Amino acid sequence: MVVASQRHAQDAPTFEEYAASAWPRLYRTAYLLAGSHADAEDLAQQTLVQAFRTWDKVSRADHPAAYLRRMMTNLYISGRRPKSRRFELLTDTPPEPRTGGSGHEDRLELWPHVASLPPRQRAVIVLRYYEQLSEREIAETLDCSTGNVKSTAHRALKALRAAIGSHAHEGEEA
Amino acid sequence: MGIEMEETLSRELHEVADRLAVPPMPSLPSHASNGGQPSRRAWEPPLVAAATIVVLAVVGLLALQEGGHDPQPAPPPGPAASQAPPSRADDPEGQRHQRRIERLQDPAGQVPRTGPGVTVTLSDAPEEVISSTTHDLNFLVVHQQDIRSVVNAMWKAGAIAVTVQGQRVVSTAEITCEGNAVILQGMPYSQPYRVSAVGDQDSLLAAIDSDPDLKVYRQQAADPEISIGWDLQLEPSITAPAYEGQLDLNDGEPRRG
Repeated sequence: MVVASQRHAQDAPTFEEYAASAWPRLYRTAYLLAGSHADAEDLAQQTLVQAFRTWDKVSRADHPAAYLRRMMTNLYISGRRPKSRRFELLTDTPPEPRTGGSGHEDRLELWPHVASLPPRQRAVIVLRYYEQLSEREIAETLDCSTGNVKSTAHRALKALRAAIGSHAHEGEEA
Repeated sequence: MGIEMEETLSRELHEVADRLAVPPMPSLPSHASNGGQPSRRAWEPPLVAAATIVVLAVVGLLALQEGGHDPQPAPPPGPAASQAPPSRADDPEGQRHQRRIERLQDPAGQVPRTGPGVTVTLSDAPEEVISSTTHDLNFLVVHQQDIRSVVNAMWKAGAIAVTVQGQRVVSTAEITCEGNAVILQGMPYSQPYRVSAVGDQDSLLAAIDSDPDLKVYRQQAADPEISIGWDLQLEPSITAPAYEGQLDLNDGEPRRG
C-alpha cells in the first residue's frame, strides 16, 4: 500500500511540470472565453492558482485537463475573483482597448458576435466548437444536464444566426 | 445553414486561438520545491497576524524594561519618520520600500525647496472699473481656472516646486472656488493670488508666455475696460515649504444591489 502510493507520487507530474505544459492551451481557451489578453491571462492564472491549492485532488484525477477546464469555465461564468484581486489598482499603463482585437479578428464572420453572447452561452460554444467536447462532457464541465447544454447551445446558435442575419440585411440596404 | 454555421464557428475559434501569441506563464506562488503544498498566499494572513503578535510582544517587553524611566514623548512625524525602524534594516523588501519613499519624498512635495523662480500675482480689476463697468462682472475677477492655468504652465515648464499663497501645491491638491474666495486645502483665500514657482526662470517665462489661456488673460489685463490684475516678477530666491496636506486620494465605491 505504502509502496503503491510512493510509486504514484513519483509517476504524477509535479504541479510545476503540469502547469508549464498546460499553460498554452489554458491561455487559448481563456482568451476565447474572456475575449481580451489581460482577462485571459487573469482567468488562466486564477485557474492555475486554484489548481495549485487543490493539487492533490487534481493530480489524482483521471483527466487533470478536464478538471482544470471545469475550474476555468466556472471561474469565468461566475465571474467571481478572489477578494484580494477584486480591488482596482492604479497602474502606469492604460488598459488595452476592449475592441482592440487584431484586425484579423474583426474580419471574421462569427467570432465578433460570440463576444456578445451571455457567459454561459459563450462557454458552451467554446467548449463545443473549440474544445470539441460532447454534450455529455460539456454537461459535466458546467455541472448541468445534457438537456440544458442542448437548449443553451440552441439559444446561442440562434442568437449568432440572428446577429449575422441582421448584419447581412444592413449590408443589403447600404 | 445550421451545419455550415457550426463549421464556420469551429474554424474561426481555432483560427483565433491558433493566432494568439501566448504570453509566458506568470510566476505562481513559490511552489517549485513543494509540489502539493497549499499556496503561500493562503498562509499570508496568519503569517501577518503572527508577525503582528511578535511585534506587539517585543514592544510590550521593551515597555516593561523601560518601566522605570519617564515616559518619552512620541517622536514628531515628518523627518523622523524617514529613519527606518531597526526591524526594517534587515529586510530587503523593507529596504526597497524605504529607498522608494526617500526617492519619492521630494517629487511628492514632502521636502521644502528654495531657489530662483518666478512669481505671478493675479488680482481682480480695480474697484472703480468694477463699479462703472458695462461688462459681465465675471471678466473682472480672478477665477480658479486662471490660477490653475498659471500653476499648470509652471509645471509644464518643469517647476521644481509651486506654491499658491505661499502654500505648497502638489499633484493631488485642489484649487477650487467658493464665492469670491479660492479654497486651498480647505482654507479660503481672497485675492490677490500669488503663484510662485521654484525652477528655471527662462523655461518658466516661456511656458507662461505661450499658454493660450494666459494670453487671453494678459490681453484682458491690458484692456483698460477690464484691467484685471497681472504681475510677473523674477525672484532670486523663493522658498516653497513642504506640503502638509494629505497625499492620498480617497475614492468612492459603487453600492452593490
